[in-house]
Amino acid sequence: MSTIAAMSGAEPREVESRDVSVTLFADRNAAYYGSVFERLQKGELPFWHMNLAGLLIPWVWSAWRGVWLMFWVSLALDMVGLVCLMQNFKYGPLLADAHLDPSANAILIERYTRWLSVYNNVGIATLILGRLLIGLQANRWYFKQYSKWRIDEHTACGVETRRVVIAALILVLAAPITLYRSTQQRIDERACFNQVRAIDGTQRLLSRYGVTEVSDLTSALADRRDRLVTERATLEANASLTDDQKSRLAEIRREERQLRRENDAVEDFKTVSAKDRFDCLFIDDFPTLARIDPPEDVTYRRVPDEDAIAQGRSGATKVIRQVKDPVEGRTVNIFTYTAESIDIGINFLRAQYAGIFDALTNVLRQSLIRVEVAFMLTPWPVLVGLAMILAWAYCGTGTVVFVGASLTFLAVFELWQIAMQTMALVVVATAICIFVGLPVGIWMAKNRIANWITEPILDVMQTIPSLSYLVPAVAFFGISQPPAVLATVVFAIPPMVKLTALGIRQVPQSTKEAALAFGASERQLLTKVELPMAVPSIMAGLNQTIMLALSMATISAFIGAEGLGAIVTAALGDAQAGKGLLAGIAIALVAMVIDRILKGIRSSLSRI
Amino acid sequence: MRLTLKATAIGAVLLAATSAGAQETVKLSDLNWNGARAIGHVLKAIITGPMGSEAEIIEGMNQQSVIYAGMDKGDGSIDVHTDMWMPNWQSAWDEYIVGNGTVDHNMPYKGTSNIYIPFYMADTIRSIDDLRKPEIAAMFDTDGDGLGEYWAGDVTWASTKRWQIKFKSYGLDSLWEPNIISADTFKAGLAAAYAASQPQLFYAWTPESIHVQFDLVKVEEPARFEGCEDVDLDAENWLEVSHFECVIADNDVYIAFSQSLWDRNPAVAKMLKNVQLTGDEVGLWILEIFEKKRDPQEVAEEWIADNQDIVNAWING
Amino acid sequence: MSVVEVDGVWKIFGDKADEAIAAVRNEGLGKPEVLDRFGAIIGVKDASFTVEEGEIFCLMGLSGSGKSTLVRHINRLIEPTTGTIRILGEDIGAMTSEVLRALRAEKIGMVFQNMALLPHRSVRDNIGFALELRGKDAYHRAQLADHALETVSLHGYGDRLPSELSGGMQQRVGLARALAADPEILLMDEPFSALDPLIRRNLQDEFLGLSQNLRKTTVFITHDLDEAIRMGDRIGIMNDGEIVQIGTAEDIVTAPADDYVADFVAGISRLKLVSASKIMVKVESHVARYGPIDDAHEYPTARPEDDLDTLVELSTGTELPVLIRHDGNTVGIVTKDTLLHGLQGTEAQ
Repeated sequence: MSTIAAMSGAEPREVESRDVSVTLFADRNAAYYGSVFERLQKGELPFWHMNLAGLLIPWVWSAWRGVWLMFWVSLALDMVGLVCLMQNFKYGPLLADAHLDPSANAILIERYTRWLSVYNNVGIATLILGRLLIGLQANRWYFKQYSKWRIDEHTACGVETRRVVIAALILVLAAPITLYRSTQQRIDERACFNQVRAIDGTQRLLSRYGVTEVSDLTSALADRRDRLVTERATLEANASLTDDQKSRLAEIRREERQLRRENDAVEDFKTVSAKDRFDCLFIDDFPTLARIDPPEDVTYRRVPDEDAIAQGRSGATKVIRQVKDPVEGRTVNIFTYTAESIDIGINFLRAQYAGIFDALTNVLRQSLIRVEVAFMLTPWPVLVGLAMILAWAYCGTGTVVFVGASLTFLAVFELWQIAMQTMALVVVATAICIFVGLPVGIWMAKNRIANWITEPILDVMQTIPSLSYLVPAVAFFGISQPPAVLATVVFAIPPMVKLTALGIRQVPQSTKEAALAFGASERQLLTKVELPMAVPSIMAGLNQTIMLALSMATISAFIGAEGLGAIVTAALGDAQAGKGLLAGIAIALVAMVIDRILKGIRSSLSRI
Repeated sequence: MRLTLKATAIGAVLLAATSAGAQETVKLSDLNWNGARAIGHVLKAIITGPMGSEAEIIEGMNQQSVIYAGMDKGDGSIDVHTDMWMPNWQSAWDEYIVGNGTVDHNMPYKGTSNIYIPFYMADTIRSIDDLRKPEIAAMFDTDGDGLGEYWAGDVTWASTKRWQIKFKSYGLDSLWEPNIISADTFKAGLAAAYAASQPQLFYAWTPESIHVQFDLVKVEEPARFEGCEDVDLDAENWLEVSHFECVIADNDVYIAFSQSLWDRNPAVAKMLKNVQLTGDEVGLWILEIFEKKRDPQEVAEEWIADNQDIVNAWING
Repeated sequence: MSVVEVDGVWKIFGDKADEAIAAVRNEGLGKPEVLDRFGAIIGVKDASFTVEEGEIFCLMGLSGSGKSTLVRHINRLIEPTTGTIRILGEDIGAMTSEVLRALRAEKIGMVFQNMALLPHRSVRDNIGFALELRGKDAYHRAQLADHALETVSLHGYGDRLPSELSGGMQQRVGLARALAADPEILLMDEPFSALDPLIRRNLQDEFLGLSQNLRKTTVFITHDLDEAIRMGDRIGIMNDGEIVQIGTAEDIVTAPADDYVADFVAGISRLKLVSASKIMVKVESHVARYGPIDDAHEYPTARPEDDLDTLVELSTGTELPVLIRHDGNTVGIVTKDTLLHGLQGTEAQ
């Protein structure tokens, strides 16, 4: 028969009839599966048809036959059932404890009994129904795999002992620890931390006292305590004490307190059982891998360079490095180590390149002041009129009304000047976004490596919480508007870059080829073909960038940027809902006004 | 033993929550300066350690007006304000402690509030008088609007308004403008300025870790005299009607807690009432936690272990 | 001197192009083997042809046969792996990019299957594009563009946007754009394939008319043999990257180089393609077989270059064969049998 050749696509498999293909696929027990599959196809298989292996040994059967989906489903179902039953080990002892004094613990007994019966019922039901489900579905899933195998030769087929071994490994690695976990109570959140501390502390004491055995350490501590007690007793026996003796006595008391803590640590260490250690390493949070010495506590500072000034170079500065003494016995995990190293790095960069950062801050501040002056000194009727004329020229009457109403809102609520401050910030940030984003977007569209580098960076910029880069921004650029502009740029630039790149990439290959065929150079191709054709996409990016910049206004207020966002933040501080809402609505209105007008301009552009 | 993995059966916790309120979890504020944080950790350690009760620091609970309102309500959403600076919060004191009688407090410790500069500015500025010189104000002008900036505090703090009043009363408001931002942001900015030896003028107080982190010098202010402080922060035109032209008196710093705690967790209420801190102790905790970067709970537990007599006196007092 | 000379051009897409060429030359590997062994795809395989001045040279082949790839070598949109292309006697492979751009803008016009007009520019600005690239001022651009528009009978459409025109009109704009700079050479990459049959026919006729006036040297790509026969002075047939036969339509129809070409031309009407000389029986062999022709003056006569259509016309209404006369001498004879076999494309018995 040629059915198989026809069904398996372009390359006919060397399979002459369906029976042979089932034999090839199923390997063992092919006759049984052949008839099952045939009945399935004819719709004659009764719904109660059951695969006994699926019912009794589903993990083994499915792994042996390579039906991995079924392996995982049956494993999960069985695990759920078993975990429920395991609750007996978790609450059983508690119930037994409660029974010791039934009258006092009536509520507890009732609760545990109820929980246990629910867990047991659910557990048994899951086990039985789960197995029934697998038994009923086994051959149907197997048939689906067979159908898939006929199309895709990489699909698992036949029977393999290797797969059973893999399945057994999975079981051994996952099942026991999961079941064990389910029998354990929640671990106290500080238990593991204290455990690590006790182990660390004892290790330190061992080396300090020069002993290797904990028992030796205990006796060494006891010796020292005895000596201190004796000395204290002698001193206290004296009726009158000299000043020296008094201070010695105070010192002894301090040493005794210290000793007590050391003793505590050693006692704690002794009580750490292998089970506790295991619990902390495997069933709690991911274990702390290493506790290491913290990075050297360095600070950098740029100070006037007296020598150079003495030599006549006025205003010369240099960076000095100060190292603080390490805190005795402080160890940190990798997270803290890295975080502190970053702090030190920022401090170094700030001191080393103070000139660059200050210059950049100054440029930002100066441009902000200019734009702010333009917005704030232009009388409001002029700006409102301009906005409404723009709306009238590019959009419908509805937009004109909306723009008028929104700006009236700002004016009536006396938010005009503050809104203009926000506008200045948005305008400067948007300008930077365009000047940086456009070239980067072009570069990204043209260069595969650039794309490969830029894409993940943009994704990070889009998703990283803005609050987390506000502090570094402050560290480099001080407080108030300039770092706010930069933080806004970080937040708002990705759509500009991405949509520029998208717009350029969307230009059809054939159009570019035509331009080249008529003698266009790369630059002409970009300026006369790609950029003009990408304009709608770039405008969409610009629109999004402005919206994001506005939504960043509130966050920027956290670092002292003035504007509508500052009102929102202040209102949050004073729990003044009304103020915050009004300022928030004002931001939204400004955003919508810009959005509507830009959309109008955009659609009038893309009509071309 | 501390290390036994505590079998905190969920059932037991639920039971505690539903039966007699003696075990109710005490909710502590999470204010954004480190003295308040240190006190919070010690209180939590006392409540969960020797007292065997439950306590929780509500993360991000740093809006003081919200905290006072919550304690006034007494519904258990927030129970303890760990560091109430007086007279900065006179309004809350009058309304909740005196008026409604819904908030209780302990015996205060002393704090100080002053205006500071980094040490490298000490030759330039010694007292408030120096701030009246335009050339000095110009050194502090970073935004180019002709006014020097100083940090007056967080927008949620009462002290922020007091500093604005003081600068106006000293006649400095034509040369200086306040920068009102959170303490954390300000500290980041200060660290940056300090690294570049740039001018900074700012409010700071003791006890605070900022004095360990940076070498700071106090700007001298006129001594207190009769009638030098007349402040009404609640007035609509608070800046105009208030007057303040001398150094701020030492602050009384309280632990404030909801009166309702006396019903819901009397043992803890009693302990809070008895707590008597000193500025030195708070300073020590701040040093350990924020300067030596030690684990706060560890510091608190250690202090409790070393001062069991004091703690027992608070609990049983 | 030919206007376009393509000599031994290979194009292999893939990293191991040189090895692949060597292997194809020495071992005669086919497309699939090359793909298997070198991961390389043969685009053009050893193509050579020339196009004379004023000639329309058709490259015909199915899709994937490499004809579009080959034509893009002529203006070096695609670099050959090996081989040379000379335009007006100059090797374009040796040109600097500046010279090459000048060549593309001034000497070669190109028309594309999908028009590839710039949607944001008016028809006039599209046509003036190549001139703009060369820095011509706006006034002259507009004049030349309007002239080109008139040439393709689209007078007055200069201020429209391409999207406002129908497909056929857009392709006229494409043609006008190619003609605007008055280039010596036209490259037409399946220009009429995307159009309705009726419009296609119209445009073909119009282009033929234009061509007779303008005498542009043209390389015309098509996948349609009818079109190739209509348009082409000569036709090159491509298969799997290789030019399998070059010749006039008649050559290809009457003497296909291989089975592939024979398959192609099997369904083609020979009436207008095949000339009398191709099917006639030489008068000597006729005489040798049947003896001398009597009453020759009564027979209808035709010239050797007359097509079968003419012979059919002459043969209807008479039982007599047609005599083929050249320079006053009878050179051959076409009987009814011969004519019918000739129409069918089979050999007379």
